[in-house]
Amino acid sequence: MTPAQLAWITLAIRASRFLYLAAVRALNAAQAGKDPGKPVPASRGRSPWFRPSESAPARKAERPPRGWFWFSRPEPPAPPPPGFWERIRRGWQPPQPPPPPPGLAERIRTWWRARAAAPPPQRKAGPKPSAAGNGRMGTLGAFAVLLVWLPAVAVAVSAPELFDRLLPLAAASGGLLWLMRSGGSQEDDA
Amino acid sequence: MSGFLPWPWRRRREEGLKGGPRLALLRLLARLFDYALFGLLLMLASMQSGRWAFTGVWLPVKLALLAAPWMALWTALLGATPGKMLLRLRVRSLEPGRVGLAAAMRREGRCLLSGVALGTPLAVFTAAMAGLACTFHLGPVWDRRARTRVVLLPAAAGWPPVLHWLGAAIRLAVLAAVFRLFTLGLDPRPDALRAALETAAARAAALQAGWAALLP
Repeated sequence: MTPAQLAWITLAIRASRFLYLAAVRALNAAQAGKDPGKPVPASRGRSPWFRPSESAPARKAERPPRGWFWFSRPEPPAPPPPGFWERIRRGWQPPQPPPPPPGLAERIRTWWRARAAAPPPQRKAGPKPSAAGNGRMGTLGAFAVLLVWLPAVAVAVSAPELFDRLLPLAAASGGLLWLMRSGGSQEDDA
Repeated sequence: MSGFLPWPWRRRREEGLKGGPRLALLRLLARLFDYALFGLLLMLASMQSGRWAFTGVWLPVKLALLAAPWMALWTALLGATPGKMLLRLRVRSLEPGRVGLAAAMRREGRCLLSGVALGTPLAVFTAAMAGLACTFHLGPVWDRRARTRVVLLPAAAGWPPVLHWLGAAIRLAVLAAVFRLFTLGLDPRPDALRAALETAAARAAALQAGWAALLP
């Protein structure tokens, strides 16, 4: 199926749904003798397959109570202890249940706020690990990467077989260098 | 509509979009366009040299590895890669100053490390993570490490909408042409790509001749 066909099918579905809703509205209005321009409550008599979808609260309101089945009625709530209403009238407040624990989203939000508010990690005082300065070393490294990259592109274009043979070698040596890099500084060397 | 927006919102809009699903999709599209364009350039170079090796499962990996310094170079020199420029995106530094070559290289390297260099099936997860991070205004990991941010520049004000639509159509045509030529070049033999390029050249020549005939 091409994307154009998919788009046409989607359009057809949308159009048929629109036409169907308009027809339902007109039919309901004709039955109720009302103006078809006004919104009409959803018809309940039709099969659910041909009924416009309703909002979630409406569906929840018409649902039977939790625990209901045809042979088992839900337990009625326990009556309040004697003297309860008297104490309520005097101003006593019943103990409230504890607040629910924070959900996952709230915990993540709290953690991220604390992390964002924390100051960024500072480098230790003292001489820089590189005498030339980090910025210049970074630029030198970038130029070194470019110096490696230009011949790599040339090889990839002119001799793909050689490139395929060199790439695992370069990856292995790069990984070895990355593993062997030391965390030392000038003081350690001196 | 922007005339009704109160002060901070309006100002924030004028500075440019810094997050959201739209920016995430545009960034993904720009990156795909960059890879396709770089692959197309490699294909054109190899058509000149007569060697053709743009097939196989390792092609995305090789393309990502080779395209990283290329994209870093564009970012450092012009502030955006070709795909980002086409979609009006810019790479900005969080600190005052421009994004240097080292920062751009570190950014692209981090992008490779985050999974782009592992091939298409695993890069999908990286793209999903980056898209989610960008949607929630966090930015992908390579942006956070390099202290950069990608913004979507607002459209130039004061132009008639027709010109905006025309520009959008031209951008879309460029995107589609590059993607189409790149997919043609993924064929084991470069014949389809060569034929498409010859057709495009013939069309351009005809267009040029037509314009020349229209001129007095």
